[in-house]
Amino acid sequence: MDQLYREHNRTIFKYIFYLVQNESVAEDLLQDTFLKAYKNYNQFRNDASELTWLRKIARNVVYDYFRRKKLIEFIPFLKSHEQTVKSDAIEFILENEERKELFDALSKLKVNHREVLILRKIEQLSIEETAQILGWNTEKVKNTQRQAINALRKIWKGVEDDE
Amino acid sequence: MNKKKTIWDDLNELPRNEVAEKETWQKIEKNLSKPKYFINVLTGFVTIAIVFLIFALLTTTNKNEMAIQQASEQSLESVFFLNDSVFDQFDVKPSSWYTFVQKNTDEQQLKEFHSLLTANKKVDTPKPSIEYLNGAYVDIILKYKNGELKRYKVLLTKPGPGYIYDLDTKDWFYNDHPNFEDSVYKLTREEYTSWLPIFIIFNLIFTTLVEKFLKRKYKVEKIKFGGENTVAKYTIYGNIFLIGFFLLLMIFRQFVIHIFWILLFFSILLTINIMIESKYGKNKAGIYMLISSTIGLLLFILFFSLNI
Repeated sequence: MDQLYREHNRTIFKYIFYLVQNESVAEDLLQDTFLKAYKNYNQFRNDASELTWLRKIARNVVYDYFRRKKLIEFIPFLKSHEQTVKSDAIEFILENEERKELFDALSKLKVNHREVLILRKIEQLSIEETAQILGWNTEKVKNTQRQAINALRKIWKGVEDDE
Repeated sequence: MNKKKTIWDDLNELPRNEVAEKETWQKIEKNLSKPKYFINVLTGFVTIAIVFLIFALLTTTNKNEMAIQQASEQSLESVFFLNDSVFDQFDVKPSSWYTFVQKNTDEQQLKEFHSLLTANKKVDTPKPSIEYLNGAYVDIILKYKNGELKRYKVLLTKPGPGYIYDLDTKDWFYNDHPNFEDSVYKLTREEYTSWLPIFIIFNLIFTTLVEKFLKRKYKVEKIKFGGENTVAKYTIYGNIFLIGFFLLLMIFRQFVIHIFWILLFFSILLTINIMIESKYGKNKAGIYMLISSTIGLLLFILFFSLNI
C-alpha cells in the first residue's frame, strides 16, 4: 500500500462513512477520493496538511454523490443501513444503543449540520481546521455548530448540556 | 485529570474492515496503472514511425539488391562512404538512414573521381601481407543516376592509395593517376556540421530547464524514478544505463546501424520506463523527465551519427 493511502485511508473513510452512512458507498467514495488525490497530487500545496487536502477532496466527492442521488438534504438512516450487508462499521454502530441513537439522529440532520458535527465533535478538529476544510470562515463554523447542536438536541435527548 | 470519554469519542473509534481496506487499495492501484492518454498517443506515434521505417527499410533493401550490377557509362548521382574500415569489412550502405555513413553529392568531385576510375588497371590479387591486412580502408558505394550501384574498398595507407578492390567483380585494381589520391581524399572528407556543438549545448540547457521546471511544478527537491519500489527504481536506472552504454558503444565503435533499430531500441526502453514510472512513480515529473532526457539522447545520436 502506498504511504498516502496507508496513513490516511482510515480517517477519510470515517469522515465519508459518517456523511453517507453506508459502508459500501463509503468504500466506493473513498476509492474515488484517493484516485482524485493521486491524479492531482501535483496540485497539493504545502500550506495545508495532506489530511486536510484529502478531506476537501472527500467532501467534493461526497457532494457529487449526493447530487447524483438527489440526497442532498438527508438520508434516512434505517433505510440505508438495512440495505447494507452487516459489516464492521455498521456492526460497531449497532452493538451499542447510544451509538445507534446518535448515528440515527445525525442522519436526520441537514448535511452541513452533520458535517460540522463530524469534524468538530467526532474528529475533534479545531475551528480553524474545520473552516479550512469546509471553506467557511470561523464565525460560520461556530454558528453552524451551535445550530447543529440545537437541531440534534431536538431529535436526540442524549446531547449533554455543555454542548 | 482524565477527560471523561464521551459518545463522540466513542464514534471516533470506528473500526476499519482490513479486507475492505486492502480491496479498495487494489482497485485504486489497478485504476492508476491503466495506460494514460499521453502514453497511448506516444505509442501511436512510435507505431507509425516503426511502420514507416519498416517500409523505408524494405524499399531500400529491394532497390539495393536490384541495383548492384555493373555500372554503366553514365554519370554518378552520389557517393556513400565509410572511413576507418578494415581489410575484411564492408559496412557502408547506400542510404543515409544508416549511422556514420557519409554521403557526398558534390557534382564536381563526383565527376572528377568518375573520370579517374577509367585509369584503373587490373592487377593480380595482392599476396596477404601486413600492409593489406592491417591497412586502413575507405569503403565506397557509387550510386549512378539510374540507380545502379558499385562497391569499392580503397586502401588509404601504404602501398596505397591507388589500390582498389572491386567487391562486385572481386578484382583488384591499381590507379596510378597523379590526381587519384587527392580526389579520394576530397571525395571522402567528412563534413562535420558546425552547429553540432551548439546543438549539444542547447540540448543540455533544455534538459536542465525541463528538470528545474518539473521540480518546481511538482514541488520536489530531486526527481526520483520508481517511487518507493526498489525493483522499479533499479529497472529504470538499468535501462538508462543501457541507453548510455549503447550511446558510447555506438560512438566509439562506429556501428553502422539502420535508424529503425535505434528508434526501436529507444522506444522499447522508454515505453518500459514510462510504464514502470506511471505505476510506481509518485508523480508525473519522473515520466516527463524520462521522455525529455530519452528524446534528448536520441536526437544527440541522430545528429552525431547521421549524415544530416
